[in-house]
Amino acid sequence: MRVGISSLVAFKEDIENVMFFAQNNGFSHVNIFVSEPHFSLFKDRTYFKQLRRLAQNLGLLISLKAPAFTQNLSSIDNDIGRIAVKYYERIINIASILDSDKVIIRAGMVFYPEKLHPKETFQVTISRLIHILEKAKDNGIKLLIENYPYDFDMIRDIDDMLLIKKYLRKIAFAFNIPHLFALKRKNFDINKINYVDVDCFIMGPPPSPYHVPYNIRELENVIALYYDVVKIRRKELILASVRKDLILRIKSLISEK
Amino acid sequence: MRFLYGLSTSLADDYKNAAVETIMFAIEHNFNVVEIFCETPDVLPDKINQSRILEINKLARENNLRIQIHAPFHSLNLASFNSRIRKASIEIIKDTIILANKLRAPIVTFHLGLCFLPCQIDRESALKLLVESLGEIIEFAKEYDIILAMENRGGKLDIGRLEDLLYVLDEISDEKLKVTFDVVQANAVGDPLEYYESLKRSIVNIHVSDSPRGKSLLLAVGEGEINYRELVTRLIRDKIPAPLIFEVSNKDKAIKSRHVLERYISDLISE
Repeated sequence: MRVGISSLVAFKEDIENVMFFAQNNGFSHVNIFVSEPHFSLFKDRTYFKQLRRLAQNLGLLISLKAPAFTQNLSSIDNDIGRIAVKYYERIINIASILDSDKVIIRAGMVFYPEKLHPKETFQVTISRLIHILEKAKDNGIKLLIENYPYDFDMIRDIDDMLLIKKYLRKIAFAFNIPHLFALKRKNFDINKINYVDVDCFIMGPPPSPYHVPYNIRELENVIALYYDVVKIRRKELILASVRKDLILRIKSLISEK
Repeated sequence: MRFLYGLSTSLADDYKNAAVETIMFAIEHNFNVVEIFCETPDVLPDKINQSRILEINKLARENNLRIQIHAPFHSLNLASFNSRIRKASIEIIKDTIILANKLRAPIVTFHLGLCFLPCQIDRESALKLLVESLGEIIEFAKEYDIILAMENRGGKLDIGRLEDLLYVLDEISDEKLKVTFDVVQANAVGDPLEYYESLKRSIVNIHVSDSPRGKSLLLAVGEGEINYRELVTRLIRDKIPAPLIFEVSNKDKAIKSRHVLERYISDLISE
């Protein structure tokens, strides 16, 4: 099974440093966390080609993770929606130059204005997602939606994934284990995962690899959940944390099992 | 000293007509101020139609009602590392300032921004970007003679803790940049009275609701644990000229809140 890391592990450093760290520690893949100043979408083509060459020389695959903070695909404000769509289009273009196989995105967030218009919100989200999916397909890139644990998130658990799959039959997912854990679902039927197209799992400290501070005490429980999931589905794993020591600890805990 | 009492349009039942519904209720129940929250479809800053603006102005003028504005905040981030998001956020606040001018509103309340992961790792840079964004907005507000009131926030992802506001006030000393003191948001992360003491020189607007300690519910004054009796005492002592805007979960709670606050004031006078 392939194991990769998120470039978050060295957020204040260059991507090149993450690649060397990945190679030195036996990872096969670097998932680039697209956020300034760590990684800019507005560098010239030469830079991205150099990055691609470095990854090839080190024997690493590259994918992109498009974090969405205010880039909201569900926004009923057309200006915000347009910015989000353009942002994802740009990331898909860069992914193509980098020879990446996948781009991980956040489906959208339902805030107060969107809650006032649930039907319209769902419709605009789906239509924007269809547009981005087409764009990804044209570039030979797999678009993956990642689940998030927050109340305002459009895709939080497998039921949400199954719902959106009714409208986007070809959509696949990056399944974030700590995010699922953070939902504290009781009597949760993990077998439902058989009905969605999971491309990779994301593992990291709870409550979210993308939110500090972490709750390290719960880490072993998250790893246990990961093992429940991989009994059913085995896919590539991406480890994500802002801390190198934690990445290596998770890697070793998983290897031990 | 007489307080101005106001209502936020967030307590309207019909969100499609939130501004006018709240104004009518304010007139009927003798409130002095209505704070229009610009995320309901009737008052989106760049989409509101002229007839709605005229209607609000007429109602406000004929009934001696002051209008204030609360800028949109969901999906906005003045501290974003993404320059396009930051630019869009600045533009939306500018649109809100233009709307405030059209509605003769002297104050625009706004949120500073959000602190997602890049900011959580490098907060210093995010705050520098925030100050940069604010510089542009303040210059714009000056053209319209509008006061910008940054609101303290207590959410996990919010920029708006006491230290953030003090940092901004320290970096930008400008008469057009003031504070909307949200009592329940302060209560969610600390002691509202401590917030008040630290910010009082800049407070021009106050959001009022009550909640148990450490939470930010929208209860009526007296239904939670916030020491409003002491807060009112200090507001009077310090002669803070800020309206008290009820941001509670329904209209009854606004009336109840005003009643409780007036009782505290009456007790103070009789003491």
